Amino acid sequence: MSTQTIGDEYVDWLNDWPHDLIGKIRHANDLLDWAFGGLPSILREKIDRLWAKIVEYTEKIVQWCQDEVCPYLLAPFTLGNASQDWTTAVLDKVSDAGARLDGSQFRADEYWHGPAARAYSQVAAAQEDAAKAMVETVEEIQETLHDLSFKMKMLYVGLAATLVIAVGLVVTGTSLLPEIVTIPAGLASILSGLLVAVGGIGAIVTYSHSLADSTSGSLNGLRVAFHDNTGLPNGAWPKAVRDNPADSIPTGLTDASLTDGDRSDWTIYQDPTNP
Amino acid sequence: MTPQSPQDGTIEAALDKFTTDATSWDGVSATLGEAAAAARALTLQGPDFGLTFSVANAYADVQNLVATVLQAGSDECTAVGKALRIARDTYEREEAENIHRIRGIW
Repeated sequence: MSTQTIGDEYVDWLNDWPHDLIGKIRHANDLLDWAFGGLPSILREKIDRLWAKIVEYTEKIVQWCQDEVCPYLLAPFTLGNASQDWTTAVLDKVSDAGARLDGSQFRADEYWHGPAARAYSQVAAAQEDAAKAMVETVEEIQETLHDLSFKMKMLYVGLAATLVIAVGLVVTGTSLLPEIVTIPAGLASILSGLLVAVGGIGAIVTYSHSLADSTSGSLNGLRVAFHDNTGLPNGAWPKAVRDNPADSIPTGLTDASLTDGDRSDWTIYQDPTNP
Repeated sequence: MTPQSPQDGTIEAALDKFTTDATSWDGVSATLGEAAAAARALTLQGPDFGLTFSVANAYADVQNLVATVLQAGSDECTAVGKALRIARDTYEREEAENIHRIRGIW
């Protein structure tokens, strides 16, 4: 399903552009064929060389558009949707979890004291800090994708604007072909238009490389920041307090027994109103 | 001096605190688990990045890291809830066996 919005007509325009260019060059070719017979042979050779260049550039431009541009015109929308999904499917949930890990909800000292009760009050705080750190990371992923989506859209809009100028020069040049005396100027204009297109394509390739590098740098930087975040010790979700590091269960919190060889880590207050 | 037992209803209220907290931890665990699964599903391939297709690897690394850590958070919250239930069950059993009263420690 298309996710285009108003102002995103560049997708259809760029998709159609190669066919449009081919049509205009064919029309120019027809006009040139019609006038060609009346030209002196020395002029025909020069025109042949110019026309060969025009055909060569046209083929390259069309091929590049069909291989590198047209298949990816919806990429900005895909990235925009992914950015939105990071917000609704991940960020909102992690934020919700962080809010519910508010330490004040997980205090057992109203009824309990002892090592486990003290440790328990620290557990929620550490988990809340981790959730906050994850919120920051997810927000940055979402913003990075949104930013990339926006810049890629601008990239394609910029390319479309350049190609509009290129087509204008081709059309102007074609309009000069029916008159024998203006054929050289017409071909020069068509060639100029194609060179504008080549320049635009070169610029978009260069810019897309730098955009890819800076975006990759941002995402890689997130991983580094992840390890430096105090809410995520060693770049991992903090373990709850426990006695045995090899045990996945925070065993300090499980020990409410008086019969396991040590005192219970949980001790109940005699009078919870006066702990 | 003979240790006093807790006031009436205190043990039940204290054990209920374990249960309600454990339920809350389970809820947080479920939410983090959903977030982890969603992050894991937000896969983007090279073509999805268009001309910036080389971004795909860096994205996949971060996506995998976030999904893994969120799942670890979910597992950890489950473990806390489980620990509280174990503590409650243990205390309840020893209370039923009069161990607290015998030893004078609650």
